[in-house]
Amino acid sequence: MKFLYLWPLFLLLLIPIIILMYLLKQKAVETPVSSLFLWNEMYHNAESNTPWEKLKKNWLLILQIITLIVLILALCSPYFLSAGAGADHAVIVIDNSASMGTLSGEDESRLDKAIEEAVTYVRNLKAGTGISVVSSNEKAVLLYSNGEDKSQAIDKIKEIKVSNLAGNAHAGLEMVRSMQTQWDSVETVCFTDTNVSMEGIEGYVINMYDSVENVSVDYVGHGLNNGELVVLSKVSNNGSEPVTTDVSLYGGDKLLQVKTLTMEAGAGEVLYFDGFTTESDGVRVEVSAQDALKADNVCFDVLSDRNVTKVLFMTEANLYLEKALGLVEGIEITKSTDINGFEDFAKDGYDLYIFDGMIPATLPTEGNMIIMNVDSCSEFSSVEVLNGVMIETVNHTVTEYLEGLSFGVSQAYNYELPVWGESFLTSQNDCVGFIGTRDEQTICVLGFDLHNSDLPLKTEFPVLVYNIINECATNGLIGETVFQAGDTVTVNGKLDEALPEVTFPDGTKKQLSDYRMHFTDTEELGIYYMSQNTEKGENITGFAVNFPVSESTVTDIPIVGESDDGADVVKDSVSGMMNLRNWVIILALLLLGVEWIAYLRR
Amino acid sequence: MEKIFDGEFYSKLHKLRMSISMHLAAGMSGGRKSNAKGNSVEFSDFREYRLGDDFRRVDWNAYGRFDKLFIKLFMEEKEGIFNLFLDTSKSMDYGSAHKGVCALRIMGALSYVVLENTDRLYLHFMEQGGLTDDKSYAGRQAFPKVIERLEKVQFEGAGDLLSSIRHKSFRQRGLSVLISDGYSHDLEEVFRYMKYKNQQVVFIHVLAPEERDPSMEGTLSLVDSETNGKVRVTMSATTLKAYKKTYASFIQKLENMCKKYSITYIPVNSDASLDGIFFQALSQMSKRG
Repeated sequence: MKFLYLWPLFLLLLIPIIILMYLLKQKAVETPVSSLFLWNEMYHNAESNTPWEKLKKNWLLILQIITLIVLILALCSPYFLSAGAGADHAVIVIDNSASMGTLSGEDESRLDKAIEEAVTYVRNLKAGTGISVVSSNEKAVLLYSNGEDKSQAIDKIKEIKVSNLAGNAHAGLEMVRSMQTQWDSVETVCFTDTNVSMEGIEGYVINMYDSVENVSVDYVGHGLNNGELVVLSKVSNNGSEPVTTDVSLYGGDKLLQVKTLTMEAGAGEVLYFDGFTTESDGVRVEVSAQDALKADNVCFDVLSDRNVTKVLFMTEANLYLEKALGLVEGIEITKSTDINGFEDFAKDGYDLYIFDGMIPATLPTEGNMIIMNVDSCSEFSSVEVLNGVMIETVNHTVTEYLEGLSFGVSQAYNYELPVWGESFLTSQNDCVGFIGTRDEQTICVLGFDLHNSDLPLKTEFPVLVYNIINECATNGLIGETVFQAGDTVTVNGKLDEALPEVTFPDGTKKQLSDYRMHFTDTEELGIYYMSQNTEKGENITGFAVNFPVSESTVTDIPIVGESDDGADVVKDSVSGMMNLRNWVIILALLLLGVEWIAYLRR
Repeated sequence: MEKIFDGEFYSKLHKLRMSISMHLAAGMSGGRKSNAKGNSVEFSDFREYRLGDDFRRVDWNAYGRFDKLFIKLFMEEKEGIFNLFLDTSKSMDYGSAHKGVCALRIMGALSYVVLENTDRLYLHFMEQGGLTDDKSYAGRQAFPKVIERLEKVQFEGAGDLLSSIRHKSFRQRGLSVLISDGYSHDLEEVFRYMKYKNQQVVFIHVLAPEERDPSMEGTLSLVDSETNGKVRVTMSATTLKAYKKTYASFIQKLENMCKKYSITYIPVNSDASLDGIFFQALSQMSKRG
């Protein structure tokens, strides 16, 4: 038997105090009697008069002292140690992915139970154990690193909240694999509702999964049918019982339509909502069923066309550019080699036209243009052809991050810079590339063939393409409009304007740190707005962040007793250490009971 | 203290008187007869003349008939000597049914009987190791004086029965009645002394109901009324049980002691009625002869 704490032993000092109190006792009420003759006689027969001899026969006092010792023993938390529990280091991995928010009891989620178990585990660790706490969903976060302070570790465990993110304990266990190499003896306890591999890790998984009833709204989309708005939604019954629920469509805070839906266990239904109008730019579909996981009962959508830039790419063949364009998010490319049929294509209307080595007789009057390797057209013309020259960048928004870029071309056109244009590529001060806005059309001109240059071989090439596309694209700040919690949103703000600002579903606003960045703070569910103040006014784009569908139903659950490393790797609760404190407390209570009976019978 | 000799007491004495009269008529014969043969008028027996006998007591009629000298023996009629000893220590000043009052009433009633029987009465009050009122009373006309004296008795101080009794010289045989609560380690010495002094001893042991069956509760500091000594007692069932055991043992010890010295032991509860006490006493005493 070992003790978790030794500090309660100083309470043993109370024993002499109890004895002293017993000897002094409380002041008794004075009562006159005729004579103490008989009382003295009684005491003379019953016991001796010296205090220590009195103590010898006083069972009550002895019981009190024994009870005190047992209580002190309980405070010392005695325990029996079994294999594993004696490791010098302990790592607690807690899965806080969205599925851990599933209610396991009345008001207790899987994560609450996991935290409770983890706290018990930490409390039961022997003093001096190095404790690490890791939370895990898509990513692992080391919350407490190899500290010996149990209360701090417990505080960190209690701080873990359920995220809306997909994932499981896998990321956390990956972190453990790299951490444990520095220690000789380590035990890892992983609290998760998903099957994870403990291969190469000493420890076990505490299974938090339990079968629950859950209805989820997996998807909300919209479209136009004969000019009328139609919203479709997929609702799934992830439970084991048939369920009937109301499915409500809201536009902003206004209830637009309600449908009642009955689903068999495990079934999914697609619902269509039509015949309504809304002025809101966002809708949400919500189920009313009371289930174990509430976060997935609602799904959002933004009522706007996808902010995809439609690009018409006129080229004979330009793999380099195609590949580079493929890296740019939010563009939809239509490729054509037939410049003569351009007008037919152009009827559909494109946001951006890329003319590579060819140019139509009449330039489109709407949409932006990138014109490559063309000597002249109605808008500009070259003054000479340069052969075998080096081209350098000029400081401009499209050459941001490309300072010092220099590449060689076998042939390039030297253009006469139009009044609306700004040069960004030069060869010895001769303009070979410029960009500008004419009649609300942005036109970018590159005076060389990529195939005749080493630019595609430069690492800066995709950046240059990206910058040019962003400058010429007419799309909003972001490409997509629907994301899962935790997804990365690519922000393409206009340079030289105000920094973009994001408005969260709860109304809080936050200015981004850069014009173009990956915005990752998307854990909150709902409709976000990305905005940027430009010279032309405020550019606002909304996007919806929804609950990750994969978390609504966990199918790959931990199986108790089956694992690669043996039957004990997956358990239902923390063990490994038998804490005797509760038993000792019961013993103390029994002793108190005995003392009480002894007192009554005295 | 309550009034000791009230109307009820005298009415009980009247009843007692009638009872005693009946007792006497039943053959106890009047007056107190001494066992010593003497010169009274009441004939007792004959015996042959021996040298030195008083000629005046020779029965000449018998000589005429039997030709032998016989001496007439007569029952010598003596005044009975009654010594009543009362323990007046503070311990007697106790009890819801006051022990002192009870003792005084018993003493008064005994005095009445003694004086009615034309015997001589000596009252003794054992006070703090001393003895007062070694004064005699005789004749029923002395009874008011006795009552007057008894009414003056105060119960105070610590008692020392042995020292007190040693102040008594006991010049004559007699019947000595000790009325006390018996809280003395020297009681045996007292009895031995009285027996040594040729006394027929009656011990009237007066105890209050609270002493027989205490009903106290809680943790108490019991204070001795005589010595102011203290004993701390937690009144639990076990304590009371132990006390009662000690009490029973105390009574048993006194009974055995009295038997040992041929002493009439009369235990009295102070809450008992006077006539009850008295007839109990009479019957006990008559058993002893």
